[in-house]
Amino acid sequence: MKRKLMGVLLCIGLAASMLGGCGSKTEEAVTADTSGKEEEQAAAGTEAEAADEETADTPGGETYKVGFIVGSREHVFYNLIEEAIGAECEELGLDYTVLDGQLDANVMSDEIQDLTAQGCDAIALSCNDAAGVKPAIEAAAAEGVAMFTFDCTCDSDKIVCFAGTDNVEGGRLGAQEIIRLCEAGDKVAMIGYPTASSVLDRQTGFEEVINGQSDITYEFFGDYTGDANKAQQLMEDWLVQDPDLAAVFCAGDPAATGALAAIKAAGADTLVIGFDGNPEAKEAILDAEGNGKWWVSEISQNPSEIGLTITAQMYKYLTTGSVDSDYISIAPYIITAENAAE
Amino acid sequence: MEPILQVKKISKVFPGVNALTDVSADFYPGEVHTLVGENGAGKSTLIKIISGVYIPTGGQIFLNGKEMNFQNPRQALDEGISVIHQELSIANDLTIAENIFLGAEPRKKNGLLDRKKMNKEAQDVLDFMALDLKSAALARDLNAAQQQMVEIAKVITKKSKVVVMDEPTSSLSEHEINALFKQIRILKENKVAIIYITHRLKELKEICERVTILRDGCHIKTMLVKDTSEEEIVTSMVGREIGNYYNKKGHTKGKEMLRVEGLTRKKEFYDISFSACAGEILGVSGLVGAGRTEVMEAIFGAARLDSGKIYVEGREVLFASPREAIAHNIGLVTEDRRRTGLMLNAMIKENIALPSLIRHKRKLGFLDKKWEEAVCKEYMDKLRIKAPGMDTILNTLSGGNQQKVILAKWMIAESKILILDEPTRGIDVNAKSEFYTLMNAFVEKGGCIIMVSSELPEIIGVSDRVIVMREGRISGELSREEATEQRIIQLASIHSETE
Amino acid sequence: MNNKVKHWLSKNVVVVVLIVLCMAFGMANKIFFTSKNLINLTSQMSINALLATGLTYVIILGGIDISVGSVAALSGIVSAVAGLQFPDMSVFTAIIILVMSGIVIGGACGAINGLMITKFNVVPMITTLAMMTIARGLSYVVTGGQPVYGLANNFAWLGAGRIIKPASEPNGMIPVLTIFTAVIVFFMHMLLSKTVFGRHVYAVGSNRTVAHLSGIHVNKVVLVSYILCGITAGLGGICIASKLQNGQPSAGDGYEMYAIAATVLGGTSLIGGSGSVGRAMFGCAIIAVINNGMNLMQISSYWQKVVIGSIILFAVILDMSQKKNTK
Repeated sequence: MKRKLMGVLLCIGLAASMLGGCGSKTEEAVTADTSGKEEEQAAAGTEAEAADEETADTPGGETYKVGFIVGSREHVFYNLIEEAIGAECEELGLDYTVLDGQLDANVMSDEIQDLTAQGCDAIALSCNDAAGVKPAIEAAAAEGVAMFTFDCTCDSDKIVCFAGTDNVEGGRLGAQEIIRLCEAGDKVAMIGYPTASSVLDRQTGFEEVINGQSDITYEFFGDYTGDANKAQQLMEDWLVQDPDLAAVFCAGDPAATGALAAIKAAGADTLVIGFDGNPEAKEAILDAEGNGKWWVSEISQNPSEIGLTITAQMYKYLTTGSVDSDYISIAPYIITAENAAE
Repeated sequence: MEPILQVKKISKVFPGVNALTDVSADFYPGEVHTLVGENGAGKSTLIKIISGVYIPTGGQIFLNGKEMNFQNPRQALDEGISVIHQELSIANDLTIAENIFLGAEPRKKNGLLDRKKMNKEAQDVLDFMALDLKSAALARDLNAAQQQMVEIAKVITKKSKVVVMDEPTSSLSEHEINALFKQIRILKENKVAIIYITHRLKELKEICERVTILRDGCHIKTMLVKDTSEEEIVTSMVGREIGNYYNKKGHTKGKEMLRVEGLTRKKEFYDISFSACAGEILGVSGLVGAGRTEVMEAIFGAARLDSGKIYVEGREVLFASPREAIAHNIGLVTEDRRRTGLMLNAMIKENIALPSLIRHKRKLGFLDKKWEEAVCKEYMDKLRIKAPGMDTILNTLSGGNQQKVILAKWMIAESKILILDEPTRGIDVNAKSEFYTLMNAFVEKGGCIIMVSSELPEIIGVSDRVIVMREGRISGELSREEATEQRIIQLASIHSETE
Repeated sequence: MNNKVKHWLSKNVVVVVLIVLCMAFGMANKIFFTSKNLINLTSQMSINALLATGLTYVIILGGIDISVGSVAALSGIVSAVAGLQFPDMSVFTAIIILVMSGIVIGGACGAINGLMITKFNVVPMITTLAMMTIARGLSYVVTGGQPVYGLANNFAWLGAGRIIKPASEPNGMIPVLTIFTAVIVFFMHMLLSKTVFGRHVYAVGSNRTVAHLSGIHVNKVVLVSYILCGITAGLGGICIASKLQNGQPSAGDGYEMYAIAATVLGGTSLIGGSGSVGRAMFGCAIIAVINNGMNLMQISSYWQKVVIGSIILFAVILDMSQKKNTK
């Protein structure tokens, strides 16, 4: 009986460990719609040949092959980056492939190998788990592939160029918005996600500014683990402790969604400052009679700019051998009711 | 002669029950020492203490004069005490050889499993036991009797000093029992002490030297088998005289309830035709593996038929599932009550009411708990089911009471045709006698019973008519007067060189 | 300690653990025992309670359903998408849309699970693992990875609304979500403990062969149980959507673990045959109290996980040792 139970528990454990990697991970390369690894490689082979032929057939013109790995196709943010990459590659005439890294260092490492095998001249990826993909990045660089990173980078001298949001600056902007909106003596809170390094950066920037502000009390911090419902519960619990909480900085739009629901239900007046710049944030801010009463400000990343910049830098490196800078910060910007409609 | 194993003043107290009180006994090498007693007398508790499953609340155990304090079965096993349990512990997905050597697999020098050696040694044991089995066969494909033989083979290979056998013959046919006794005699010659539990008293004269009688957790007496008689043992067991053991009565045969024609299920049984009437107990005899159980399951809708017709009260029926058979008032008491007869972890009332809940449901599908409790109480009284209450978990009841629960279950389900497959296996004399009385009462009220049994005295003692099966076919039908042990054995035996 | 008390304690470990936890948090933080916080607790445990309710059926059968979190997400998404079609919906329309989405989508997912298990004999673990992936994938397909937003305020009444509004509490006291959950849980509890069907669920979980030979339509019982499990998961999902006034494709990620944990804490055996919806609610309460209490005390969410895991282990060990003793 015990053995049976053990078995079941093991299975559950196994399943739990798979949870992370089991959303809708439909591996859908833009150029090759394949699922199995072998198939993928086989397809890659034929594709590479096709590309060679194409190169041969195009007199004088040189077609570069580039690969991208986005953090996850399940996030709007990366979807917007992917769109920009696509548009820019078409524009520049690059032969490109975009893969879904599934926020998993293991998957990303395999994909770097696959892209290298397909004969990519340059690869750009978002290093959501920097330490995990570092070996694969260095191995690819050793084979002569130019390695780029965007959104999150990795501590390696093989990275030619990084383009991403300056998250620390984003956090500072969030704190400044709070200072602008609050009065002396107000209490504020932050909902974050410290296991995600980019979100941790926002926390760092936010706390740096807010802690230097003597007339505003930084009362609560909570981890919403990326789950809007969890953010709602955090906010609900805080509002029981302090119904007069003046504002909350939410380092991600799902957190802001959850916090907003709790604030509305409790009938509180807490203001919400979100982070990401997703469409639902803009709509909420514009809804002056409704959600806009609470959700007043948003620190927006600029995913299109990130995608565009990294693609342009790759092209520049492949054609001229140099980049503008090895670290390009794409500044976040503030959205309020005035500019949200743009 | 020195006893190899002694238990002195052993007691075991469970919350609310004194399972054993000051029981002492000596076990000698080369002897079969039988423990007898009704279910609940404390036999199982005693052997569980000897084999280290339970730790006694009082008393001592000596092995070769040395005091033992077993904390778990492993320690007892290491000291040379093996147990063949009534519920077999066979791993279905392993081969016979793997089962025999489980936990003691022979290894090559490099530490890898020596499968060749294992298969060969296992085959030697099987051949030695004169069993027609291949050591590389999967245990899953064996029937209960064959699995039992594998258990015995396991003990033989372990070369144990003390072997406990808990009702080893309860699932065996006559000829398999003889094979088993042959093995026991060899163990005896090798100075092994055998502690034997059985409900079949006639086995005592055949194989045993000593008998210890337990009643209500107390030691009643220990006797040499040659100095006593079956009657004396039975009297000591139950504490009173038992009259007509089978309570045999002639019944008045009524109309035909069930008739089957040409039932066939390939590789299991062929062309089975018989009928059974109201007011009749039809005995079905034959060796284990003759296809009796399979026929009964097919009639009950639990297995598919390849061909043949079934008539219930003259109307042709075809059961796709047991549900439909139950709707036609047929009940099946299966051979293996622990595995297929009862929900052991559920309460008495939950078991008893199960097939009838649908018929007695209230509006919106609600349970009729009042009915359930009333009917449960009625039948617990009627069948004299001994239990603290109707909420008692089945697991804690004795075999006889469990069997009564199953009988009650089908009586409540208004069964008119009851198929009983080995109904008294593993239950004690007193409970058996009571069970026969209940069967008779059921038949007298116009019920029809088809009873499959491997025990010849039971078949002869209880049945109004006997059909005998051999290798999947009916080999003969005997009236009550014709049915003698000799005639049945003749019809049941396989006339080939193996016999 | 006298024997009766001991016996009661060993049978009701989960209640004892809950009381001890409440006392501890109550002493550590004076806000814990305020009526407002306790009422919040009931709504915070609701989603998990809904998921655990149906799961109890499946686990009693000796099965498992790890797709509940994903099925919840899909149902929530569908209800949000449907809700977008009615920008001026009344509360009544909103409830119809929400509940129908939960029942239809959850029921369909559960039916597929049940059919795979009964007709094709796929192991429940594998079937529901597949369903978990499929439902999550569909949530992203339907939404394109973006949350579904812009829903009318009435859409949020079921999940975030409160009724009974005394002057001191203009926003209302009792969460509609709590009442909704209580109704569903009560219904599921009665179905399991008071009806013939419920008894059949226990019988099949206890011994499938015996159930079959006693005339129970085993496959039907299994199928219906998985459908019920899907429906409660779906209802859980629409409650999240309503509460957030928003359809999140990532909603309910990992919630199956909490639901299984609550069920097991409530004494439902993973081997099948025993368990109760009512007791699973105590499991849900324990998990909710830990989360809530630790939120109040500003303890990091990493520790919340460690504590919940440890309490599950503790409860299961106590449960096992108690079962061993009664043998």
